[in-house]
Amino acid sequence: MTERLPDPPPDDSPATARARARHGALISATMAAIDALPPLPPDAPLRSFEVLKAMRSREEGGR
Amino acid sequence: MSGARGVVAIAEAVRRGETTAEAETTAALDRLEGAGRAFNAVAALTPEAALEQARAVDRARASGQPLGPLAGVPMAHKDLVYRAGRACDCGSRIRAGFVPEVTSTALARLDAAGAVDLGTLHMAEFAMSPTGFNAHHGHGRNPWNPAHVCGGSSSGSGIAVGARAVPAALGTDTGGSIRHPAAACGVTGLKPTHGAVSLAGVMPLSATLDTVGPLALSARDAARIMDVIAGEDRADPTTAWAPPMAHEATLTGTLGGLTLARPRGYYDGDVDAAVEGALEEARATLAGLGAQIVETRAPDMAAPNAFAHLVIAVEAATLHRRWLEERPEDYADQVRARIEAGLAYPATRYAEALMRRGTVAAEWIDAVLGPADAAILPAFPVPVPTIAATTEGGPEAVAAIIGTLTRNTRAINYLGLPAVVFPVGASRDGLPIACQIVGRPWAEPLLLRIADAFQRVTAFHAAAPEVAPA
Repeated sequence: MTERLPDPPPDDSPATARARARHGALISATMAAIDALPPLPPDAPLRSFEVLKAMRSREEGGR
Repeated sequence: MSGARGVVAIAEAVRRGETTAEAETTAALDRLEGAGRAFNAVAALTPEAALEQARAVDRARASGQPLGPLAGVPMAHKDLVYRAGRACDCGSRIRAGFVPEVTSTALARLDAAGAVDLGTLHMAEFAMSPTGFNAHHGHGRNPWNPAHVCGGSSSGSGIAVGARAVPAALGTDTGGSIRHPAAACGVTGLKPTHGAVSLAGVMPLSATLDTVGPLALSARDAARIMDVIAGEDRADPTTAWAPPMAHEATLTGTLGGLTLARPRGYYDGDVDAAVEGALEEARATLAGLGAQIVETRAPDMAAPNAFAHLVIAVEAATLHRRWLEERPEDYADQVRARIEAGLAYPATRYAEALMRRGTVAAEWIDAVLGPADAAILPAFPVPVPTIAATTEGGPEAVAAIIGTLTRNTRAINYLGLPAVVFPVGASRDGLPIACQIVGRPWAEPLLLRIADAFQRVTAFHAAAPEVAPA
């Protein structure tokens, strides 16, 4: 679990191909910034942001 | 009647019978027709409907009925907040003439509070510019100096409030779009916690990052509007977590017992000396009000900034996909470029961005806030640039200045946190300098309390550009 797997390919529509061709450098830079993070654990929750908001809602916010 | 009177002052004057909603509405419509149009703030005014709303308020007062907290306050709003039956172009050619069938929850709540809706205000195309650039409707012009950017994407909202044409307006913020125009135009802007204000009936840019909030002449005015528009709405499930919050009632004028963080590292980057000087004075003022200032250190912001970009691009591309395929020529080049990149990211990266959001937000809060209640950051790290500086030169130069303007705002939306922006000084050429105070989720009342306390002992928020009515 220390190495990232290759991403699945995006769709091959003309607009997506155009986007890849035009914005390759931006997309690569964005992916590189994410690649610098360790891989996600396999049990990472998708809704963790909502949980964070709920946890911090009454005891920490709005003082 | 003063054009510089704020939300609370107008509502109270209407309540006491010192003015009428109709008089305030007529005066505000005149100001929007004048300075509002001159600085390119106005999309479309609806004077007949506005005067009808205003007269209803006046009739209610005359007959002794209770008045709402915004009774007779004339407002106008970013042209993506829906009102049933009213055209809503979203600053675009693609949605020109679109007439929604629903009224947004935010406008419905303002209506119920007695506010008067004067019409729609210009914005960046589909909310995709931090400067106020719009290829179809022209640049918004800064009321302090029309050669400078007004900030975007809620450009008309910033201009109209900054020019004192209206005392307040709604904007939306997905990467800084309330905070940029508030900073550039010298007004108070609140970007709420994601989920604090309903997004129902608002054209989305990026549904997981979008927020609706006020731009106003003061923190107190913004607080009164938040008391009206915030809270759970069954039409928007993201508001389900929203706790009941009292905004205006928490404005005590004191900051005793609070700790404010000055995060070093990332947020020192690119900061101009004039901006740092104004923030230093602001920190001293806040300390004088009783706040303890502590230094913290920002984490590496590369991943939060990347995630913010990726989520906006992917979610916008999902919504715009048909138009990108069928009408690409109807977008401005720079708007289409920012959206279409989202088509090319793997779905796994988008899901990863959402799955990491809580962890990244917790890490940012722990590092930047640490023991503090809120953090003080520059809104823009540099003085408000000229329009020429953001449009002329090569694509790299333009991208660099855009990146500088958004470096302190964009990730805050990915983190989902609330932030208030308000003026704390002026640059050498007379443009406002603003600070941004960021808090934990649901800290809007605290942030407004800090801004209000600052504004009780300073006059930056009361300074008006020459275009403002006397």
